[in-house]
Amino acid sequence: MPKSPFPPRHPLDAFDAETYLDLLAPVIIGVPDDAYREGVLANLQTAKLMAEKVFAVSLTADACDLAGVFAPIALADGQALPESCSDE
Amino acid sequence: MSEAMARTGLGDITAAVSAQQVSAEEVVRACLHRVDDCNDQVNAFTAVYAERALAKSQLVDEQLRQGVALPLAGVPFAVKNLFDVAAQTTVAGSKILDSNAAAAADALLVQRLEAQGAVLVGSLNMGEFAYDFTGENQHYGACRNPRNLAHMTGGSSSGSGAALAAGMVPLTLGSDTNGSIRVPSALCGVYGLKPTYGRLPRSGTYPFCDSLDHVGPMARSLADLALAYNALQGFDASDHACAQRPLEPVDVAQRSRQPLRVGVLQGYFDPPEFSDATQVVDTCAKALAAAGARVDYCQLELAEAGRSAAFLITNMEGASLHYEKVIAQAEAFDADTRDRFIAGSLLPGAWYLRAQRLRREYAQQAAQLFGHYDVLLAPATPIRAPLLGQKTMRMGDGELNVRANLGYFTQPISCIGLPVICAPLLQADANGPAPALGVQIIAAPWREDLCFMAAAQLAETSTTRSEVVAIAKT
Repeated sequence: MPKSPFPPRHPLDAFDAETYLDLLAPVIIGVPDDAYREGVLANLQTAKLMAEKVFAVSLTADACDLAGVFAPIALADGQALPESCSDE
Repeated sequence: MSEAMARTGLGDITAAVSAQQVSAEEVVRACLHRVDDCNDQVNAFTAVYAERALAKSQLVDEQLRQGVALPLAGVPFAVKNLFDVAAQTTVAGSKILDSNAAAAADALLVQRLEAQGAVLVGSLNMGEFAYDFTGENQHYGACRNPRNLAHMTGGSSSGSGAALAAGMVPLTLGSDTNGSIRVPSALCGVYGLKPTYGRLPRSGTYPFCDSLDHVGPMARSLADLALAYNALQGFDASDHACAQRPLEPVDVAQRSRQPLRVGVLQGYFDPPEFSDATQVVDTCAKALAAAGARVDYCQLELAEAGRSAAFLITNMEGASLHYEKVIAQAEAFDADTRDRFIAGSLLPGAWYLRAQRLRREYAQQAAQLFGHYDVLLAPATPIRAPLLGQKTMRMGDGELNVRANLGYFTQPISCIGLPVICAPLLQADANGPAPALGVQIIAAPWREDLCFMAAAQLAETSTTRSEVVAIAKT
């Protein structure tokens, strides 16, 4: 297996709020007004600190609850799948 | 009459109205008078529905004359202004929604209280879109803490806490995503219940963060809180998070057959920098031990990570909810809310998904802890109510942002949907009543009864209590 050319580091190490805002905002929401910049940057920096704490926890494979209240909707007895939902 | 009524609880109001010693209309008129006296100073109400309330009170009086039993007969109440009120626009603390169509019907919890004879008198101030722990609102003005009008109420259910402490109403409804019932309960010195996630239906309320939004009652006594909670319960299919559970009414006179097993949360919940807050927990732990509880110390190892997960989930779900509005009409938002929503709309999806996964792991850890403890104790807020306009608070050698960190102790608990009663501990100083602190009494999911049981033991010894603060009319 070829060795990675990059030194091992956490993906969050690459996150820089200012660079992130300047690169992504124009293509996602547009460039925010200059008056908002300081507040938005402060929030991105806080979010990074929060993400570091979240990613620092090793999760088990079954820690997978992406929508805590989602429940699959079962069909009533005898009811067929609509054709548009069929695998075929 | 309004002075006396300001201090009267739900049980006494209902008993007097049901016995027709006083009419529901007289009670409601006294309440409206009190609101008129106090609101200029406290700024708790954003709308008063005098005509509707008087009409409803007359209907209650008529029903009583016909022999209809109404468990909350004549009880005036008010709701955070994210609850729908028929024929009124639901503004959720914002200006941007005030051109929306009026609500077609009352929120379900308003309907449930009124079906039992309670009377809605108004809507209450709140932080914009519930994204707030301070009680300050750029559009409607800051809500002021009745215990000291120069101080914050806490938020986002700011008016719900302040209206109780000022004796304007004996019962309010609030919402709690990260602490928005518990923070103002603690700082205003009243009781608040954040039930288990999914216990009470949010139907007819303006959302903030679906994964974490709760609704619940606030009151000046534990008995009042229990009466309201019992009236509010019941499944509703229109809230997809609402659990199909039987009604599980609580009785504050109920006693445990075994000594309560109480865990005092340490680690994240016991930082030396917030000694005022942790002292409150010690006081409660000692009172419970004296009442026969077995008190022990324990840790919720993932609390800090859980708090961080709640931050990311809230930021990103809230930003998603307001995505189009914050891009098209950014200037119409409160500056603090706007900047947070803009940031939240940019964050990586991988962060959100990881935060939701962590929540599952953290909930499993907490479930194991409840194998050993009936209730856990933790502080409600790190400090007493800050001054209005105060931006930072000290933590050791550093400064923390007040707006984000008043929920330091509440956010890890709501992250996993545990039921909590916030009970107030009051103090007075030479200048009068000092801003209060609170204790969180936390139980396993669906065990609100244990929260009430422990809270009742604290209330019996007056370790925790609430009071109405005198507000002079300007």
